[in-house]
Formats: sequence, structure tokens, C-alpha cells
Amino acid sequence: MPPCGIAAWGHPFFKKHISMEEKPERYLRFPLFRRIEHWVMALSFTILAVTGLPQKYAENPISEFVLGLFGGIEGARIVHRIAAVALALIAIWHVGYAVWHLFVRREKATMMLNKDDAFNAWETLKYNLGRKDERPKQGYYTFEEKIEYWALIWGTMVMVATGFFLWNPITAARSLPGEWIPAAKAAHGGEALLAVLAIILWHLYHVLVRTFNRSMFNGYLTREQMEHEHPLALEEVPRPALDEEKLARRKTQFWVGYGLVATLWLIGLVWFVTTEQTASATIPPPQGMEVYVPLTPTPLFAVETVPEASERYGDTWDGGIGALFAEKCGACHDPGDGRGGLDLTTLGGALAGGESGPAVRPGAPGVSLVLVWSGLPGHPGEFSPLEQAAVWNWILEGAP
Amino acid sequence: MRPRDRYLLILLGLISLAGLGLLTGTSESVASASPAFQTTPIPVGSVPMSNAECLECHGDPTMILPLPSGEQVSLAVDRIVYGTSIHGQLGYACVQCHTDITGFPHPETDFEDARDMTVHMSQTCGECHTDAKGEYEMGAHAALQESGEKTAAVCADCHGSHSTEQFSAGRTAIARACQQCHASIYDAYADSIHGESLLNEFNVDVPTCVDCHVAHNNTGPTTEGFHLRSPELCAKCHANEELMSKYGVNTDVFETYIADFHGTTVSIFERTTPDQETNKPVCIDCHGVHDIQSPENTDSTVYKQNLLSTCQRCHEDATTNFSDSWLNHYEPDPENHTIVWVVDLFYSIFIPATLGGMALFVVTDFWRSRIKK
Repeated sequence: MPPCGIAAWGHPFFKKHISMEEKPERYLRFPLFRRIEHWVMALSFTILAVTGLPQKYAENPISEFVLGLFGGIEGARIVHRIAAVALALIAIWHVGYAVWHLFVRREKATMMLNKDDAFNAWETLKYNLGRKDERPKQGYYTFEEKIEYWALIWGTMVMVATGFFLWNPITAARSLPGEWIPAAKAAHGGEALLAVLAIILWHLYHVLVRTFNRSMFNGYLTREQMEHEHPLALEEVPRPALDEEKLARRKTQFWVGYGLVATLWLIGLVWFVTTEQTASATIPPPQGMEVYVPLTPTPLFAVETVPEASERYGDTWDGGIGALFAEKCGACHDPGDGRGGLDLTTLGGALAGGESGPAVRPGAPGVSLVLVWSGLPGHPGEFSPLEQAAVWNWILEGAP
Repeated sequence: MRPRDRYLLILLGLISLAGLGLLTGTSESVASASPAFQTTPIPVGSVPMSNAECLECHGDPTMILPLPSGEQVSLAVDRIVYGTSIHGQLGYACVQCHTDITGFPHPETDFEDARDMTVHMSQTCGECHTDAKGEYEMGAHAALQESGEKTAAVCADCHGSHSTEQFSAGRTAIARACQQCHASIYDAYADSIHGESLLNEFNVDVPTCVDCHVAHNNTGPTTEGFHLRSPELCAKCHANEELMSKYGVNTDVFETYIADFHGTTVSIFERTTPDQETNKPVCIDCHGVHDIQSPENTDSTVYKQNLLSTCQRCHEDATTNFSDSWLNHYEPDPENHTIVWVVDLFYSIFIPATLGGMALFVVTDFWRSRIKK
């Protein structure tokens, strides 16, 4: 964790023991605020992981069960976003905490990585492998803790940035290539998996398995733990008291600067959460088309034309229909070798019909083959709509 | 005969003409033969009336029944039409369907209008076709009938009455049967890549109406369950390697959809809360339904230049770059979607490397502190 430990250094409890010139039994490592910060973040991290990973591994039956606990995928997404906001608030709180101790209180940046950490890591490995008898002596924060801390900082930054793309894809695509959104999704998932596995493998091993570290529960490390894990911190010379005047000035500078940053951060967070309505709540129906549209048969001719048609072409065989048949059909369906065995030049021939049956069925124009066949595509002879009307009416009237 | 009646008769005649046109039309190859229930025709002599007896009167093409609604229904049966129908070919007797007729005079009817008569007469089909009847009763048309919507389709509307053919004989006939009531949807389908291929090339690989909607127990596509399940309908063909290879169509479409945000959500919804609504799209929401086109067709809703406006149907504020966030059913690789591929590659190295390094310390520490002491 961050440079907080140094804050504990100046804690009255600690000073009291120093002044008594005897070694204290326990050392305050995490004051209440640090512990609250840790546990809020741990809760937020856990919720994010529990609601997030099932989305990455949606096909897994465990995911199905977990999502069910949140009332389904949409419920899980809402909870995920609430936890994300909590994490963003913790982040700005932590920035303030770090700046307060490093800048205002001029404490040593005990969390910064340096070349000693590389050395310590190497020496630790040699010790673990039995090549050395002593662990390297480490300071207030060991290299293990620093890796933990900076991995968390890196991870949070990646998750906030990629999370923005996923939360606000339209806004993101206004100024960046659209492909960055699926790329952000890939990174968000990859980083999440890394973070969860690293917490389990690295953090939980070190604080629960290797030694059961109570400092994040009760705030204290025992003297043995301090001597064993952080011997160099015990050798630190207490820092001289700060110049009250300069301290007051830096406090003012802090509140102005941090106030501005925190305000911008909060405004940014509100914007982050509210800037876009990514999608409409419902999908518009695929086709805005009427479902029930009955097919009305296209008439061969307009019924209103029947009187005019009969007037023009006649309403009896001798009165014009016979002549119409002779003209339109007689070329093929003639006496003797009529096509299809059909002779349409005489009324008798039409009634008798050919191979397919009667060409004219008096009273039933709908099934009279003369109208059926002549209407088929590709048939050489065809009636005009008005001629059809006349023939139709003639057959309907009994084909006189 | 009054002129008005004559025109009604003309109309009825036209309908029967259309029926005959269907009979003489082309019939395509059999795609899927659904077994229809078949009873043995009753031997002549054991029925109360023979077909010849019926046709003595009903062979007269001018025979009509006036109804209280003013409509006139033709009572004529055309020998040719019935004789070429499936029932006629198998030799069924008229009275096997018209079970209330046992002699002459016939019992009185109380049909208000022609539709009443069709709906009533269709009930006789279920006597033999019990499976189809059972399915039909679970479907949307039956539910509409139940609610008093008389226009909802009954057996005879799709299968015809005296002219009944085996539907398995023609997939275009299926589409045309639905067209009777769903004409605008038919028109959209006819212009689609599926419809064009079926109706113009008689290609039996493409879906006709019932392949997605089911013939009898169609539950209605507006229900949320249908929407959520619809990707499975598409996958029936589009995940079929053998079928798709004929057309050079990528079968990864289903997997890549599920891998994407939309598809992941829809698949979770389907498994956890199948009756809940989701605003995440399925195949048809982007590709279109009846009017679906090849993505290479410039009219396609997913054609590169049309994609943004398709996104905007749900993502109203989306701008130019936004549609590139969709990976077009591609697995990221060095050529397509390089950035995504690089990120995936980075984490596939970074995660094991980091954890491996941590494990080295953890395992050796455990060994030194617990085992070797």
C-alpha cells in the first residue's frame, strides 16, 4: 500500500514508545482510514470481478448461476457499474492521500520502485532456492508489496480507460477508430483475468498463507513481524519536526490544487456515467410492415366493362363471338387437324372441346378452358381484356 | 339473374380459375416430405352416398348457395379439379369430409357468410389429420380464430378444399399459400436473396416461410421468445458446413456473433431469462428478415455503406467510426482488426508471463519457508 506507512511513523502511539526508549510490542501500520480504503476497494474489486468475469466466460454454467444471483445479465451490469464508480471514487481519494503525505508532510516515498527492489527480488529468489542463508533486509515496503501496489495502479488505469470505451462506445468512436472498442473489450477482459489471478496468487498468498497478516484488520504488525519483514524501517532515524509556517502554506496549496483536481475528477465521473444513451431501450421491429395484407385477385378485366364488351363483340355465337373465336383462335384450332384436337371455329367444336376437356362450359366461365388456356403465358392466341369480358359474359349467359 | 349477383359469380369464378392455374403450374422437386395422415378410402357401397350421386347436382357449375350476408357461394364441384386433388386421386368419397350429409334433402345450414362456411368446413380436416390439428391448435392462427378473428387462416385457406394437393410437392406453393394473407411480406420475401432463389431458380436449399415460422404450430414472430431463439433458426442452415460450402458462405457467423457483445448478451438471456425482453439485436435485426440480402448486395442493410444507418436504428447517436466497432463476423487476425488481434496477443503473453513470474517466487518461498525451513 501507498506511502501511508510513513504516516504511521509519525503517529503519537509510535512516538510515545520511542520516547520511552524501549521497543514497542506492536507497530501501527494501517490507521483506520487506510483500512477503510482497503476494504472498500476490496469489496468493489470483488464485485467487479464477480459481475465481470461471468460476462467474459458467458458460456460457463457457473457464470449462468452467478448472473442469476443478480437477476440476470442486465442486473449484473448495473451492479458492475456501481462498483466501478466506487472504485473511481477510491482512486481520487487515494491520490489526495498520497499527495498529502508526500507533498504536504514531506514524507519519504516509500512505495517508489528503485534498484534495491530488483536486488531484493534476486536475493529473495536465491534465498528461496537455498543458495543463501539470509533473506535480504527490506524497508517499510518490501518489493513484494510494491509489485502488488503498482500492479493495482496499472490495472485500475487500464480498466478505467477501457471501461470508458465500453460504457460510452459512441462517444469514444467520435474521435477514435471504431475498432478501438472491441480492442478495449479484449483488454478489459484480459486485464480483469490477470488482476483476479494475481490477487489470488500473489496477494492472498503473502497476506494469508505465508504469514497471517492482521494489520489490515486491526492496524498493527507485531515486533517480530516488523523485525522479520521490514528490518530497515526499524533503523530509520525519526525525521525532524516540520517547519509550521511552510507546512501551513503547503496545506493551502494542497487544498487549492487537490480541490481543483478532485472537482474535475468528479465532474468527469458524472460525465463518464451520464454522457451517452448508447442504445434505445427496445429494438425497433425489423420491418415496419403490415402482417395481414390479403391478396386480392387481379381481375382479368374490370367488371364495369362487361356491357361495353358485349355491345362491341356481341353476346351470342352468331352475333359476334363466333367471329371473334375464328379470328383469335381459328388459325390453330381449325376444323380437321385442330391443335390439341380442338376446333374453335364452330360452337359445336367449342362445346365438345379437345384433349383437355370442353373448351366452353356454358354457365361456368371460370372453368371454361378457352379462358384458362388463352390466359396462360406463352399461348400464341390471347384475348384483350375487353374481349375476355365479352367471352366471359357470353359463357356466363349459357353460351347461346 | 340480377347484375350484382352476376358480378359476384364472376369473382368466384375468377378464384376457381386461379385455383386451376395453380394445378397446371410447374411443380418442383420434393424438398421435405411431411407425412400426412392417410385413411383408407371407404369402399364404394359402404358410404351413404357415392360421389356420382353428389355430382348429379353438384356437377352443375351454376349451382350456388345464397347466404344471409348477401354472398353467393358456388356449390359446384369440378370433376377435374377434385379428381386431380390428392383426395380425389386416392378415391375418397365426398361424404367422408361432408359427414353431415347422409342423403337428400341435406340438413339446413346456418352460415352467416362465406367465411363462416370455410371456417366451419375446415374443422372436418382434423378428423383424419389429427397430428396437424393438434399442432395447429397450438399456433398463432388458431389463437386468433379463438379470439374471434375469422380471417385467421384455417386448413382450407392454405391447402385448398376440393383442390388439395400435397404441399411437400412444392416449396413455392407454400410461399404462395402464405401470400394469400401476407401479401406485403411475400413481396419483400420474393425480392430477398432467399425468395429470389426459390421463386426464380426453384432452389430447394433456401428457406420458404415454414422453415422459420413452422407450418401449423407457428407461435408468432412477435413474441420475445421467438426473437431470442431466432439465431438458432438461421444457424440451422448457416452453421451447416456442407450446405454453406455450396455457396461459399462463411459458417463462423454464429460463433463470431456469440463472441461479440450483442451475441453474448442474447445467449445469456436465452439461457437465464428466455421470456425477458432484451434490446440486443439478433441476426434479423441487422440483416433484415424477409427482405434479407447478401452482404455484398448494395441494398443490403449490412452492406458496408449502409451499416451505419443500420447501427443507428438502435444507436441513434452513432457516427461514422462507430460501425467499425463491429468485427463483421471475423475472428481478429493480423489482416482484419489488427488492433484487437494485437491486444489479444499481448494478454496471451502478458498474463502467463506475469503469473509465471509470481508463481516462481510463491512456490520457492513456500518450499523454503514450509518444507526446507
